[in-house]
Amino acid sequence: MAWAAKQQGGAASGKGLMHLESENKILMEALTSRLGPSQKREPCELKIADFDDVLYKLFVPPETPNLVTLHCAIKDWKGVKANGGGERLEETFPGCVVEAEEGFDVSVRVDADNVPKGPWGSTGEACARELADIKTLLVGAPLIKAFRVLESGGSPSPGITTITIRKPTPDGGGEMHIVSKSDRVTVVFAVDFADETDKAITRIFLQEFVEAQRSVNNCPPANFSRGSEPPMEIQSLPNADGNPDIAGFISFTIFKSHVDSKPKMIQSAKQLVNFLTYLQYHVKATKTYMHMRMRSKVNSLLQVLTRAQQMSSEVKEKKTFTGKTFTRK
Amino acid sequence: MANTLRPYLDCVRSTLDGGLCVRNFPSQTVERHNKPEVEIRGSKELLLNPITICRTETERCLIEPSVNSVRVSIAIKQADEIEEILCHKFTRFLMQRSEQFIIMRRKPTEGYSISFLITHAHLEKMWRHKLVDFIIHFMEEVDKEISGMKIAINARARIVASEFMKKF
Repeated sequence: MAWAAKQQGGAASGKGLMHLESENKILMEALTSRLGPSQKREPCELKIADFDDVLYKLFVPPETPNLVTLHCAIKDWKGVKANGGGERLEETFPGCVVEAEEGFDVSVRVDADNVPKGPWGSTGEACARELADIKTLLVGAPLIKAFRVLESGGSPSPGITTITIRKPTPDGGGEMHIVSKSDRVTVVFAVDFADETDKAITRIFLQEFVEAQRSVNNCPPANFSRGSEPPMEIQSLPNADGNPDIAGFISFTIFKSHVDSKPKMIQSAKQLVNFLTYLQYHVKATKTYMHMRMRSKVNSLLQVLTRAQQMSSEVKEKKTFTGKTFTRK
Repeated sequence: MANTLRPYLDCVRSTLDGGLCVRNFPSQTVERHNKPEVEIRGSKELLLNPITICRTETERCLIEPSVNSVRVSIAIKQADEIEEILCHKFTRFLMQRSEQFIIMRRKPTEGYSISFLITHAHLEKMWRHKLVDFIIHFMEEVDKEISGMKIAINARARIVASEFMKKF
């Protein structure tokens, strides 16, 4: 998996600003310097906020600078915990999970002098990378749980798992619904942004996700539906009549072929967990682009208007080469 | 498209040519004031007949001449939700800069997207034919810009979506 993560990092940086990396960069830097080969032993207390209302606190006490504790608060820990979040955390960081501090949901303590072994490998760097991406790990746990059942061909638990990924806007949204069937897992996102412009742009984007399956091979089929008509899969939910004011619903259908190996499974979960962030990032980027376009257009229009203005008819004072004043009469 | 746009713009141009026939006319009620009569609407005899030129139901232009000022209002076509938003954003962006645009009004007249107010003072400083050129150019460019932005957003969305899907 460390290998897979490295591959992705390379691809992401190669593509410029297309993809946001899922790990938290600040956390990554702080952790790598402590757990990695540089072996920095420096106390710190670092509080960081991330996308999707995630909070981190990195704490290294001055008396024991080798003990690195990462506290993390996510939006819907209750839902994640009920769907395999705790087990996945324990499985990834065996023996490192400690009792969560007040105000946080999970805490992981790692001894920098004796980096534990986990599924990521045994190096400190790999451990740092895994810790910096703890949001994907936690929020992705319910997805991984569903994917494992799909891969092993087991019978899925009926019903819909709903995880709130981010704080809903006044209209709603921000949820991820996971519907497991024996041959597929459908992940439905209720997408919304507070601003009307963002909503309109989002709708265009979501429609293009549906179109994308024609040009991209082997990607999960996507389906877009307006807020007033939620997709079939989640119509058994209590508040299923939908909300016409939200930007819309998008559902991705994951088949066995998308999760038939461990790196693929983790990658699929990662994509889905970071879907809303990716979408938001690009919606904002589009607005920036529009703004830049408008700015340049205003300038070119102003130029045309300036051309309409008459040159001032005042006689300009000119100087001759020798410096004498010269006035044209 | 061009074959209906051309007569529309030609008509606006000739109407403006005729309408932009203004002179200095100080206020009749307040001493030493000089107000655009088309805005004040103080006296009926100072206002001329307003003219609406329509290309389609949504795309039209209202020209209201008066003795010392002319008001030109343009309704930009808005076919769907995104065009509506783009149009609103763009006109708002322009109107925030109306100081630089000298003849632009800060608020559009009721029912229109954007308005210009040309007074005799403007015409003293500017070439009349070039001012008309500017308004015609503006009308062309705004349409072009909005459809251009719409296409750009769609193209962007397509790339964003396919890049995301490729990662699975």
